[in-house]
Amino acid sequence: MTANPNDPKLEAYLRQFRPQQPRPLPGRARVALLRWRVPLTAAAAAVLVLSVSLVLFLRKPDHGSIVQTERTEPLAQETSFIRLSRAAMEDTRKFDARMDLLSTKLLPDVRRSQGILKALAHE
Amino acid sequence: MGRKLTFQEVQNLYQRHGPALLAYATSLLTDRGMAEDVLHQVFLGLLGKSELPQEATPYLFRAVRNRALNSRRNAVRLTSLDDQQWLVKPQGMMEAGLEVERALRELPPEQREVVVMRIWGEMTLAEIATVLDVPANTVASRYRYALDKLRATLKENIEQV
Repeated sequence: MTANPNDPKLEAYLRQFRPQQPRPLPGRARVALLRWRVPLTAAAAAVLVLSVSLVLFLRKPDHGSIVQTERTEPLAQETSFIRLSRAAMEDTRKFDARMDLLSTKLLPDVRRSQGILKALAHE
Repeated sequence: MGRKLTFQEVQNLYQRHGPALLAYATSLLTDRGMAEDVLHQVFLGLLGKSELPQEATPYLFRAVRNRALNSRRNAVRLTSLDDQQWLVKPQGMMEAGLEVERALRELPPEQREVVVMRIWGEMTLAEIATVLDVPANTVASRYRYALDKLRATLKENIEQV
């Protein structure tokens, strides 16, 4: 059995002195920030990495589009209506030769073994 | 799984138990700054938890005790309790208050923590035994010895009241 060790007079005397208030808890916003600190830092790092990658990608010259431009521009010039008309009026043999050359560039190759026209011909 | 404690509920608990817990943490750590840090860690940790047990006081004292002991283990240097003022002195009782703080400092730590929990935490001896994980009889004797020493030290002041 526990003996009652209380001393009401002494206890009342001690209780006159209250313990001091601790400094307040951080505000709701700061608490949220503390709780989300790690995920927010990770997200910010991911955004930074993505931005840098995007900038680097956009700054890199796109060789494919240059090749495409080089190939299509002369073809467009060659097949222009005015040029072809002029060639036909000047020299018909030269015109035929030019049309043959252009047809190889513009039309599908019927002699290719895997060509679509060959497949259609079989059907 | 119960409902999670809201920020306002944690604030209310802090308002109610903060001062006694600060006194307790200071008595364990002898450093008010560290004691306040421990309190903040404990209370902010409550935000992710479900509702507290019915008897919140022993739970909070136990949580503060565990964290304070961990902090004390990891602390590079602890200040002396001599430098700490942890009681509010009523008007005209500054000297008496300093005397009480001095008397508390002179108690062995295991007696001092029982006094803080009993007087300012307003806990029963059984609750204190739960927090400290010792038999209630041990708590009772620590408390009795502590009161004997305090009575002897503060005898003159008490008789004046």
